[in-house]
Order: sequence, then C-alpha cells, then structure tokens
Amino acid sequence: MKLLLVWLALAGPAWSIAGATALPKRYRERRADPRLAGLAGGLWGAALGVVALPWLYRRVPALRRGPHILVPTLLLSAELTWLFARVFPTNPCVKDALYVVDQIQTGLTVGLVYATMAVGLTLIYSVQRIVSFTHGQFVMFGGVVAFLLLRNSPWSPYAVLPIVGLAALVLGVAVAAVLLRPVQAGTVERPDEYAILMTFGFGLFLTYALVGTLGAPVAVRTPRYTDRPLLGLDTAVVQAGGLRFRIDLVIAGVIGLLIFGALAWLLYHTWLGWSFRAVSMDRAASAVSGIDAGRVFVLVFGIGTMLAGVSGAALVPAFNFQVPEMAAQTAIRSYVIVVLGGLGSVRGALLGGLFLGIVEALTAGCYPDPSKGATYQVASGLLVFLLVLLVRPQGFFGRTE
Amino acid sequence: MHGLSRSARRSAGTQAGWHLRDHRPMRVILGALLVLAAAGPAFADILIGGVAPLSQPGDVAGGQEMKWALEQAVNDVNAKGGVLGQKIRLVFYDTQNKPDVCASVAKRLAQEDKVAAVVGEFHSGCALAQIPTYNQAGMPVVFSETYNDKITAGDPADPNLPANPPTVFRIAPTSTYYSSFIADWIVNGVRAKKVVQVVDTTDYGVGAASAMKEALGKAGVKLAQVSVELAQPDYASIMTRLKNENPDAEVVYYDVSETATAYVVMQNGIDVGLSNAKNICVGNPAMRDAQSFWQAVPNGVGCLFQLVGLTSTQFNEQAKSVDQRARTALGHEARNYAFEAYDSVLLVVDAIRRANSTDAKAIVKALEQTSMVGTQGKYVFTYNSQNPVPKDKPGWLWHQYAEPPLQLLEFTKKGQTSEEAPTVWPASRQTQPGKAFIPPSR
Repeated sequence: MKLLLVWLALAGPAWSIAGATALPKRYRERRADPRLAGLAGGLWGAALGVVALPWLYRRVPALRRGPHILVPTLLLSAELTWLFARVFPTNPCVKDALYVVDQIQTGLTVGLVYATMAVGLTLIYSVQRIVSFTHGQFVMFGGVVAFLLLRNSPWSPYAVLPIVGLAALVLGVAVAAVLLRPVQAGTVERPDEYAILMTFGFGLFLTYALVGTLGAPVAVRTPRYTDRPLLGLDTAVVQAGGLRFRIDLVIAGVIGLLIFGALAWLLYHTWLGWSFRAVSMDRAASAVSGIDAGRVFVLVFGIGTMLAGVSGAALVPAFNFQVPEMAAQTAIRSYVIVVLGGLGSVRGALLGGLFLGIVEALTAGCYPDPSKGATYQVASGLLVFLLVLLVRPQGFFGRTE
Repeated sequence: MHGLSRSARRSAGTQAGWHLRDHRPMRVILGALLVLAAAGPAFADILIGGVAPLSQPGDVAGGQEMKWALEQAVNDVNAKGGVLGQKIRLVFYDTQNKPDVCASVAKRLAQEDKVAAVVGEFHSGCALAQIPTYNQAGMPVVFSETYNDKITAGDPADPNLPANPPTVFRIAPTSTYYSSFIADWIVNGVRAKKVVQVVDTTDYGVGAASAMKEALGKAGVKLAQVSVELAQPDYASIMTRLKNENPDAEVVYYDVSETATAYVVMQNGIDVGLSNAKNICVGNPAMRDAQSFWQAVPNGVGCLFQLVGLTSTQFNEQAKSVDQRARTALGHEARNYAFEAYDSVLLVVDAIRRANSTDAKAIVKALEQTSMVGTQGKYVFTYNSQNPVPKDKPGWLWHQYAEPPLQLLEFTKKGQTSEEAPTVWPASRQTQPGKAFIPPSR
C-alpha cells in the first residue's frame, strides 16, 4: 500500500508535467485547437497518467470543457482525497463528514464576505482596465467611517451603511476626477503604470490619514449586528443539525449578497449599467453611441469605491478589523479573488470569494499538523492563486485578450 | 576687497581679526554666565536616567504612562527634601523600541549625562541593547517592565550579555516566571488533565508555547497547541478544529500577545463552542481593561486573565496615592508598569540614601541589600554578589525581585470590572480561599 501511495504521489506530478508540455505541442503539430491542451494534458496526466495520455496523444480529439477538464478535475480531486485519507486516517476531515460540512459552511460564509470586499476592485478593472492599489484602503476607509459614526451614537450598524456608501462614493469620484484624470484623458504615455503609482501613493496617504484620525493603529470595533437586533436576530450563534451558524457573519454575508444583487441590477437593468458594460466591451464603439466615456470612468471608480467602503462598514461588526493591517489583508485577498474569478468578472468575484473562503477554511481545518493549520491559512490562498495563474491565467470567468 | 593690493588685504584681514578678538573675552564671559544661569540648579541635582518608548514601534501608551510615573516619583522624592540634601532630576530619553536608538541612549546616559543610575524601559529587546553599555560603564540600572529572562540571566550565545550582569536589576516578572504561573494554576489549582493553548507566531508566542509545553509536560498534563497569525479577519475554522479534536479540554488558554486578535480568537472560540460551560477559558492580560473586553467578547463570562500587579483592594497607601493621581492625570487607573516605574525610582533613591553616595559601585552594593516597601510590595533582591544563584536554580533569579505580584482574576459576572473580579490564584491571594475557579453566573 505504501508503495502505491508513493508511486501515486510521485507519478501524478510527473505525468501532469509530461501531459501539460507534450499535448499542446502535439495539437499544434496536428493543426488542432491547442487552447485547452495544456490544461487537459496536465489534469489527465495527474489523474490517470499512462492510461489517459497516450490515448489523447494519438487521437488528438477536439477538447471540450466537460469531458476533458471537468471530468479529470473531479477524478483527480477524488484520488487526492483518497490519498489524504490513507495517509492521515485520524484527521478530522477524514473521520467526520459533518465536521467537513461545518468547515465548508464557515468557508462559504467568510468567502461571501471576502467576495463583497473584492467586487469593487473587479468592477473598476472591468470598465477602466486599471488595477486600483487603493482598494484595501477604501475598504478600511468604510470601516473607519462606520466606527466613527457608531462610536458614541445609538445608531444601528445597518443605519450607517448608506452614509458610508455616500462618503466613499464622493471620495472615489474625487480620486478619479482629480488624480486619475490624466489616465482618462489619455495625456500620460503609460496610463497603466501611472494609475498603479497614483493609486498606490494615494493608498499610502489614506492609510496614514486614517491612522492619524484615530490617533494610533487600533482595532476598530463597533457593536455587533446581534447587539442591535433586527428581525429578532439577537442570538450570536444558531445551532442547526450539528452546525453552528454565527449570525453576525451570516448577516454580513447577506449584506454582501444584497450588494451583489444591487450591482447585478445596476449592470443589467439600468441605462447606467448598460453604458458601463458598453465602455467595458468597446470604448470606441460606445463613444459613437453617445456614451461619455470620461463620465463613465469617474462614475465607475466612484461606485467601485462605494462598494469597497460599504463592504468595510459591513465587516466591522463581524470581523477582526485592525487599522492599518486590514488594508493589506483586504488587498491581498481581493487580488487573489479577482484573479481566481477572472479580472473584471463580477460573478467571478463571487465565485472566487467563495472558493477562497472554502480553501482557507479547509486548510485550517484539515492541514495534517493541527498546530500549523491556521498559519498556513493565508498561504494556502496564495498557493491556489499561483496555481490558477499557472494553468488558467484568465481565471474562472475571465476573458482572454 | 577687490582693487586692494595683497599687503593691503593682509592688513585688512589682520585688523578684522583683532577687531573680533577685542570682543571675544566679553562674549565668552557673557556666554558662560548665560549657561550657568540656565543650568545653575543642575550642579546641585542628582541625575537619574529614565528610559521608555514614546514613539513607535515602541508601545507609546505604555511609555507615556511610565514617564508620567517616573516624574511622579521624582516629584515625591523632591517634595520630601530629595536625597543626601540634594534634589533629584530625571534625564529622560525616548528609546522607541529600536535597538540602535536604545544602545545610543544608554551611551548618552552613561558617557555624556553621567547619571547616577538608570530606571525604566518597557521592551525587553531594548533593554538587552542597553545592557552592554551599562556593563561597560558600571552603571546601576533597574529595569521596570522587561520580561526576557536574558536580562538578568545573560545569554551564553552572546558575549555582550554575560551571566550575572553586576549592575543590572529587574523588578518585573520574567518570561519564565510569568508562563510558569499559569502552569502552576493548571497543575495545582484546577488540576486539569487536558489543556488547549492558542498562541501567535511572534517571538512571544513561540516562547510561550515552548515554556508551557515544558511546564505541563513535567506534570503529565496533555497539551494541544495551535499558533495563529495576528490580525487575520477570522479564526473560526481553526477554533472549530480545536473543538473537534479536543472535546475533553478542561482549560482553553488564549495566549495571544496582541489584544485585538486575542479578543477575536476568544470570541470565535466561544462562538464555535470550543470554550463552553464545561471548561475554563483564560485570556489576555489586557482584559484588565474590562470595558473593551466586554465590548469585544460580550459572552466572556467565566474567563480568567493574568494581572501583573495588584488589584485596588490590595493597594497600600502609597499605591492608592499613585493610582488616584493617575486617574486624575491620565483618565484611568495606574497600570502595573506605572507602579513599577515609580518604584524603580524609589529603589535607586533608597540605595543612594543608604550608600550615602552617588558612586556607582556603592549604589549597586546598596541595591543588592535592598529591603524596601514600594507600591508593589516589599522589594528584596535575594540572589546577588553576596548570595549567588545556586546551580540548581534558574540564572534569571540574579538581581531579580523574587516575588513580583502576579495573579489570576476571573470575570464571574457579565459586565464586571477588573476591580470587582475575584482573585483565584495564587492560593495566598484567593478572594474565596480554596477556590481556584469560581463557577460564574451566566
């Protein structure tokens, strides 16, 4: 058995590399579509090795996502799970199915909140094609404004969300209209680099300004949602069927879903959203149709900032929200999410957030050495980020140029 | 001077020189008079060096409170006439918790200011950076709030930190003393057989995990440990795992050094059921700030925390006076590091008085023979040059205040203040004698 395990552990990666390198070459030689060949070769190689690769190599079939990507992915996942169970039979993820479900529900809830943090970033990229390096700070801005509003007031955490959104919208519009104007106007030679440097610099400024406002680096804390109950939700934890649902986090997740819903409605059911999508698809053609790309540029950045700010305000009652560390934590996870989901894809951000949440939860919950599970939690997300970049640079729903 | 001949220029220069020299004696006398006028009283003062962080990365709040306490002690001593007929004066420096700044501050105090002794400091790393200078200069120093064992034990791997540093004294608990205190409560207080410890990945966390493992290992207590990264948004997954793998844990010790993270970890632990009515949770010493604790961990009833120092009910008159002034000046009760800073000045002044001298060697000798009551109790440095640390005892006992006050307090009711929280350990201070844990009113 041990020999089999060692063979699987070593042969899988070897066949995967062989498949990922040999198959695209073969497809190009045969003048077949090679776009999925690397991924399919890698996956089939890892899953079945010598059994699958010669067949693909000889027959060179037209590759489709279902049979050639999804099937080997599921097969490989099953093999790895089996391998893990054989090597670590006492791991709670092997022994207890309900525990795994509990970890996944935790991951999904946290992931939904992560996705909410990232959606503003992906919206800005989808229309403006710039990566905002101020995103983490905008989320932090929302949290700090909510904290300042709630500090000595009887307001509910729900009540401050629209105020924070408005403040963030104004801030985003100002940044786009003033600092990013040269990008929109096309007066800089290297607009991408300019936008990166400008947003990075403004991010640093905002960090120090927020720390200065608070007086020192602090943990921002507001009343929890369950402290100011709405619809009778005043219990911090609800237990159902062996699972424990943390209501504050569930509420933050629901707010996230509402944000996604509102964004989808804006993008697909309003003239404004259509103009955003038009500029995103073809800037020149949208201009011919009478859409003012400059205004769209400013508005999209404002709305992206508003989403970031509102997500920050929604997180404070449920998460560990430290200033200024939260900016970096948010930024790292947001970039991972938008790359996983596909740069510029809103549904990709949702899926990317959920995926990252589950990966982190299962790493902490299943990593063989329990004492190290939590320390590898963040690293696991970054590892997945690298793997996705390697095999599918455009992410789950991204478009290839 | 264009247009003048070389000889004429030389002549003009010479005249200008003489012109200056004519007034130099007057200027020198005036300058000297001004300096004397400004620094006049300093000639009569005994200088005491004070060190604490007032800038980041140091703990600014802690440093500010220590500085305030040092100044209070100096004022109190001077109000009673000073020492040896002279006033004392504090020469204070911000050490910033940057090793290079800490080392240069020590040099300045020893070589330029030539203070009689140095007191204070909040961070161990900063104290360790100062020690080589004090060793070299033979400068007496009383560290107030630095825990690292090496400060008094020395470090065999570092030639700059020899064992038994002749002039270094400490009145704060050491790391080993601090961590073994909880272990003592676990083994001898609640007699737990299974413990979960959550630490962070900092140097503190690594040291705390190792010390606890050693202490509980000797007593045969099972220990499950996890380390967490600081400042993460959520820790529910690892807490769920701990609960699943350790359903029989009797004590859950949230030993995380950074307060905000410690509170989130605790709250997550309570939410997922790791901490429950069947076990005891122990948290961060910052829980003494009860208002923040209850805001962050509203269902933390029954949780315990370590308190360095005394509770207000245990204060003597001197401590009450400092505490009252702190409440007026700082807006909150005096913290342990304020009391320690205050006492460190009194210890040096007491030593100078008994030595009847400001000579460094005489002060060190007097400090070794200390028997003085301060705000934190009676100070005695048991192990010193006359009574070296026995080989079977830890080296950090050298010039170490043997019994710095340390106790475990329990929040038995929701919303309780730390002053209302009963002491459950050590046995000698228990509010309810014989009870190392009091079932809380949930």
